[in-house]
Amino acid sequence: MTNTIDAALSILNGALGERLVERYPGLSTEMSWVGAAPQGAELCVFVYGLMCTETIWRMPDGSDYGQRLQRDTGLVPGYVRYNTGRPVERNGADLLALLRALPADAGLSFVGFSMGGLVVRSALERAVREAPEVRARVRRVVSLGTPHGGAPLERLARGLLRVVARVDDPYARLVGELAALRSDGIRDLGDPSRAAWAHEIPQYLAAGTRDVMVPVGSATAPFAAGPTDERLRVFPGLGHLDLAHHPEVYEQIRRWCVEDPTSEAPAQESRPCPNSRESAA
Amino acid sequence: MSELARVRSLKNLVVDAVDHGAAAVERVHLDTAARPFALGGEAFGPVKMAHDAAVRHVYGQIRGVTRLVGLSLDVALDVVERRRTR
Repeated sequence: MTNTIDAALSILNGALGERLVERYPGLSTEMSWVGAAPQGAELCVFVYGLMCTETIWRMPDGSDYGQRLQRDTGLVPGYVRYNTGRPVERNGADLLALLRALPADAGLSFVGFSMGGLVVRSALERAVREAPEVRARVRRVVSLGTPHGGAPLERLARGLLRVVARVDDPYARLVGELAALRSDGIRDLGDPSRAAWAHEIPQYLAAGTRDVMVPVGSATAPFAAGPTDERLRVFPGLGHLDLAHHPEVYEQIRRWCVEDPTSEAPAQESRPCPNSRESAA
Repeated sequence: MSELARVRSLKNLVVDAVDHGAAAVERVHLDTAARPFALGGEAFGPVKMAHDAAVRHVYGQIRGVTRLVGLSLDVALDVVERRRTR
């Protein structure tokens, strides 16, 4: 029952976002840790995607990426819960505030699923200005099905709504009014990420070939590299949600996590990211 | 956030959803009905007026009852809150 209520609230949060914070604050999910804040020398922070709850990480055997990573690598998992309908930038700011409250000597790894990867990216960009001590502790970032290049479904919706707006029909107007209620978080997904790409941090990208929400091109946009890139993995036959709880994906994350983060980055990563502010300048 | 605050927010959300939803459906209802009435020209004027008045009355009732229920729930939640803080 609790899971059902949590799932309903997460959908509501994702759909209405800031409107919930302003008008129905009791239903808005504040950025917080699930349970107590993680404690340990090396932490791994899990950030889920739009309209998800932390149950998205649960694998068929009941374990999750965090539990397995702790068992196999010693990384202590911390699961973040937040209102996914708020603008990505605001969630990034809140995530950074959460990270600043962690023990000052703990190393930080991140696994972001879908929008979660954008929130991490935004938090790390903000950390350059506001919390360099946090940024210096970041070991690696893994993005799973993250729409770094934007989500085509939101762009399609925008196009359809522009057409609907021109139709002189009461039902079409009603559809337009309902669609206009969608959250800032959903709208943010339509555009390539505005946060600068952190070149100095080892970043790893995973995508699924059957992912219609975030196609491979968008999930791997920062690298734009071939399949030989060790920091990029495209999983044949996996859909969007599969990326958050699939044994093969876990195995790849584990391998990435045991790599020496200080090792020399592959040549592809040093390329300017087409979506970053640096490359736009 | 307390459980009571959550219930109060949920109540507000449901009241607003019914209120705005009824208003939106009322607009669609009136706009859709206006088309056949327009075909009939001025002869249908009084019929259209009566129809629109009835439609507005019905949707107004829905909104009114919803707000009343909302206010009653507010009072009930206030009572519960006061008892809990005693």
